[in-house]
Amino acid sequence: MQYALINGILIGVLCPLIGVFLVLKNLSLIADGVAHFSFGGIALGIVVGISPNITILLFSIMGGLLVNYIIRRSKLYGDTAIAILLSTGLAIGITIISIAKGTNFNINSYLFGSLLAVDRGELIFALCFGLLVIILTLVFYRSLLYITFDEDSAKASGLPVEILDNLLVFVSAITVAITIRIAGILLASALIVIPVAAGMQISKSFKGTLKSSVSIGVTSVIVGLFLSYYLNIAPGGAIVLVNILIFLLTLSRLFH
Amino acid sequence: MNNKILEIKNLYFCYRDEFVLEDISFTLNREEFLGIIGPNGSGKSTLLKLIVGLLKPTKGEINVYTKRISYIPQRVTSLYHLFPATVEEIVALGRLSDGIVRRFKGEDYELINSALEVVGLLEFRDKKLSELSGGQQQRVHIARAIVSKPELLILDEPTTGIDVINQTKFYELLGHLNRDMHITIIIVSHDISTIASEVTTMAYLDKRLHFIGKPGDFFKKVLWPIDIEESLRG
Repeated sequence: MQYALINGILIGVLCPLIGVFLVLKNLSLIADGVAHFSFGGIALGIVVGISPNITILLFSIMGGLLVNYIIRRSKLYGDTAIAILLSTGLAIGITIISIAKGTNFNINSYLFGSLLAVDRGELIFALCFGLLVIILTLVFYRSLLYITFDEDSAKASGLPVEILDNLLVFVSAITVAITIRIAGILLASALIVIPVAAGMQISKSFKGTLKSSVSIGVTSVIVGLFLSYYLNIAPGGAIVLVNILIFLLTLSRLFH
Repeated sequence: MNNKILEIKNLYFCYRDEFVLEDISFTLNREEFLGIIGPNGSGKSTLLKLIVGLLKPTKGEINVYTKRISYIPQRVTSLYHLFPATVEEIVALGRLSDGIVRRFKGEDYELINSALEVVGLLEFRDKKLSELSGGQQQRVHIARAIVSKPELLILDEPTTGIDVINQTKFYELLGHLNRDMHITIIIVSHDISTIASEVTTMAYLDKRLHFIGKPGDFFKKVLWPIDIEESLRG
């Protein structure tokens, strides 16, 4: 539980931190696409015998950069590109699993998240990559805000827009990969979107939105994990339901 | 020192197998204020995007003799009504043209303050962008441009949806940036009358560049003959 709690607080910080940029760039669904795509990675990892943590990370990064490339280069809307990516990962995963019948692997823990799944090794893995995401995001904070607010102006002013955009997708993919262990594939993206949606209701500055979204993210993870532990329910579900409750509160007149 | 800031030679731009711009050639000197007018779909916005490098020419050459460019694209203000950022946060983005990873120092904040003062929005610095009127929002973008210390400022129909009084004030502000801060300006606009009083050069674009020269000549050579013909027909 202790490991899960530390890991949980980490994702409570990470998800809204990059979520603010994704939501404001209208890319809320990219995290969902990446998470589903990584299902293919999990299946592959199990069959080949590599730790799924590594294959999830590789598939997430690959999927994120691929979908970003498709959005920029093809004549498709962003959500169409994301839908294609999402189905591709699921199709690969389901096919591999059906071939490798008989493995006694608990795929449910990846779909719905699990507290017990987090051991010491996984926590260190998550902390290292989490720290990388936090450092990169804070160092490029203003530049990421610029490309989120007005990409064309940023490009005209000489900012390396495509590199920054790929950087954002890269840190988002790492975040999704870390989040999947606790929240599960199906709900990983909720932690990226909902705290930000709530934060946007109560803040008027970008910095304020960032701070309130992170606070909401961390709070819902802690409360959700305790509920999950004591009521023996799936952590992903508990965390997201707490999150939605906070979102509804921010929507209500309490804060206006 | 070369006085040219922009040189365009035989520029063609093709979009989906159709020429949007044909054989455009002109030169712009430093500290000029160029107003480009033309009907809808005449390629005005495309020309600006080509100049700032967002699009690549199909044929021809564009030489911009400065790296300090600030571009304010055409937009609907409603796009921002959800964006959570204060006036100061948006203006500060202009400082990134001096490096994408930098800690803001006292000098940066002084620049931001003085830019907000120039555009008359100092007391709005902590307001959310969406709480401002359309005209005020455009002045925020001007302040963002000022802090990047541009040599060339490019604006695409900045006064769409702004009332006439505020339009006039806006063009006076641009005139001040041009004359007193020595910024070369290119602006695309619909309203001939409002830009004519501030610009030093006027261009009429409709796929081809039909006229470029002094505003006075534009009225004599381009505008009146058309009107007379039309009134005779009527």
